[in-house]
Amino acid sequence: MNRSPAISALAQTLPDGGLILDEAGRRPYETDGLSAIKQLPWAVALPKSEEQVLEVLRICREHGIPIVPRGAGTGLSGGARPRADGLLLSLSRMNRIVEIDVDNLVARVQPGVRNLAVSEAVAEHGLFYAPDPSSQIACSIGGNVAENAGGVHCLKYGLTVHNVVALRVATIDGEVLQLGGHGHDAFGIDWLALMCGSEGMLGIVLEATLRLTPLPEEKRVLMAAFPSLAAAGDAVAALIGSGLIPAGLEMMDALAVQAAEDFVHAGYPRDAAALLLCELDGTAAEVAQTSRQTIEVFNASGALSVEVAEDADAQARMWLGRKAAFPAVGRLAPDYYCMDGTIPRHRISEVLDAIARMSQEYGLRVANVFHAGDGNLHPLILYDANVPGELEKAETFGGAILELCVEVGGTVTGEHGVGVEKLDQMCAQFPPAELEQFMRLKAAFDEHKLLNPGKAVPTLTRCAEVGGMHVHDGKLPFPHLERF
Amino acid sequence: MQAWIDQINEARAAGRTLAIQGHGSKVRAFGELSADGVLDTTGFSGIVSYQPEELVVTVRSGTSLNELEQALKENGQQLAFEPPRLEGRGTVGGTVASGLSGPARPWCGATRDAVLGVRLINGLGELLTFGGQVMKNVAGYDVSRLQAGALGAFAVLCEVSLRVMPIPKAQVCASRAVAEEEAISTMRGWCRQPLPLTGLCYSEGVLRWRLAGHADAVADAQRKLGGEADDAGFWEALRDWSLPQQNFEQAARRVCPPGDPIETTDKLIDWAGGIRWTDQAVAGAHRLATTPALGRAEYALAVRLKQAFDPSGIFNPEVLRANEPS
Repeated sequence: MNRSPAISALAQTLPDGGLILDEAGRRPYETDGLSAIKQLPWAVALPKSEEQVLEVLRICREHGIPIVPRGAGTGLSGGARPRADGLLLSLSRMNRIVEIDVDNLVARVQPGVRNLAVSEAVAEHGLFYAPDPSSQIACSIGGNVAENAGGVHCLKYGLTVHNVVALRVATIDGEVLQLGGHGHDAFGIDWLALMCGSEGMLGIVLEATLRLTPLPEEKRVLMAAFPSLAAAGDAVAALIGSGLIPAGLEMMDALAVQAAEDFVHAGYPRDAAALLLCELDGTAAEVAQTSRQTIEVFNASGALSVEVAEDADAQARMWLGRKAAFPAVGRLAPDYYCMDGTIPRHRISEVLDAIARMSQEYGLRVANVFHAGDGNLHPLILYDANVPGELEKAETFGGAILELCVEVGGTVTGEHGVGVEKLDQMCAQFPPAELEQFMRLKAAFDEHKLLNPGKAVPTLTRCAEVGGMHVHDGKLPFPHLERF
Repeated sequence: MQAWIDQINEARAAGRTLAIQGHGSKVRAFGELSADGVLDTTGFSGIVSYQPEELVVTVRSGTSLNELEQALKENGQQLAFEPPRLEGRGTVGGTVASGLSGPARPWCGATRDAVLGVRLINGLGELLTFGGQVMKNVAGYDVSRLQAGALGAFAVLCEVSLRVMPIPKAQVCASRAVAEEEAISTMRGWCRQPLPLTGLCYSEGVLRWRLAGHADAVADAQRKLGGEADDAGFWEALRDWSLPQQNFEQAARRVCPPGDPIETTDKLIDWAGGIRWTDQAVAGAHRLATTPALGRAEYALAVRLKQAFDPSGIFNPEVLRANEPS
């Protein structure tokens, strides 16, 4: 296809380095946080304004050029993986905080604003923006919306979908949609729910209005060591079952604890088979009461020790190991592969046992670091990409873990998104009719499949091929499709 | 459910429309939905699964809200979004489809925030499952939450999985007289503080609030706020739309930025300013019977979205029509 008319139109729309065509300039965009997958984009667009975004969409629509939207490129599922024939649309230059409305507890921001920058900007008013994905120092609000990002504190404060009150969205048809409002609950269709987690396949976020939350008066972090994963898993179920919702509740297994301890010396007990970190917040009276209650639950569940961090320094030290857990585990092997399944809380110990058994079968070590409070697992599979076959083995192992999550009533992705990474596992989670419903929904927004094509929802043909390897109950899935 | 699928398939074949109806508890509020036939959901009722320690309940859509709330109460839990119980009637399906949330909404979330998963039947007669029973789930588009507030425009709900929450250990209700010109600034000021609020409402010169949570925290906050102690009666009535200002034959509601000044037509201000019950239809307000008009682009998209679920336009045909731009 001759793309020179499109190129000259784009170049005219995007002056001052807003269009990148040379290979060296495109190179930084070849991958996102899922770095095992690389692809140079055909071109990179860096619009600075809404008008430029709309113009880029128009040009791409008229020339049939696929668009891959990208925020900060920190996503872990390859949602921003470029296409050789596609324009990579980076929203990073649209990074202005448009309005902080303290009275209404909202902030209106452009999509390229970093997550942490919002909390920093409103801290002087005693407020913060609650969703805090681990990449919050770098990740952008537009990307957070696309992935419905969570974080350590979403157990109490909710995910992105619970904290966005309005969106301005550009559709591929060139329309600008105003969805939601400055207040609660616009009546009627819940467009915001649909946009959050849609992985850039329905529209481009031009502006997001975010709910702000008062900073808690007090925080306390508790660290409890357990003699087994099962005991820690039971403690989690008992705590949540007791009616207490901590701000965060995180679990690390022995391998993760040791790796973190070797790396940052956070003072974690090395003999723990499992470690729970529990953050409680609220008013001073509330925190005093909930910490007493939590310590009781942990002790009753067989905790070996419970430590309490009251001041900010001690709390930071306690969190240090958890926050450094991924890089710490990264030192144990040349590569690791991070999974993201969610399961019902009462199945935690059973699933962790199964993962440990699979780890032996595959001959690959696994460290578990995860959001225990909401059952969101992050098994880290250790492998060496330089050993022929190990990457494939890690991927197969990871896929098996996700399918196990589905089997026990969970999901293949809690917060990282499907992207390109979990397309095969989507086939395990959803039958063809559900996938076709997703496709019809997508077509209502983007009939010609120009926005982030090939992500998030697998084709039935792909599922038929995957399904050939997983025959459940002797029934061949997708019997009406041809086999390849 | 097969009966519903058959009914939907027959309607599609015959080019007929269906009104989805449970107990009809919201007919007075939203108006009668006219269609060629009625799909009655009340026969499909019962709790499918409930594990209190998971904070999740899965319920058939025809289950009465009363039955569900009773089961939760026995386990010290509740629906945090406080849906209105209209004269003790209403089904879980209707509750979710109408997306109505009670006084605790600004602090404890809306109906849609509690929706974790659904089984539904689309206009093609396909029984589909979306979401699940876990808190975090980003696999595929969020078709589950899309059903909350959609008033049955897309599909018939069969089962819904809802997040439930513990009933707070302690609750205090109180009130004090506040001049109208200070009402909004007082409410907004309190919302900026980390107080354990679950209700903040102003009407006729009286500011009422509700605190809930752990006993010490509630007592501590109440000491700060002062006022006179009340019982919970006002909040129950507010939730159930049985206050005189909520008489929906005359009243309309408007959702607005909570910090907006009070208009003379605002008779009852809930959600710390975020929702106003007015005594007449004013700009931006609407009777419960109608949902507000959408913008041109949003409406066109809503129509395409409906077609994606219900291409023959079988379900509640009036719902979307009410959103048509004027």
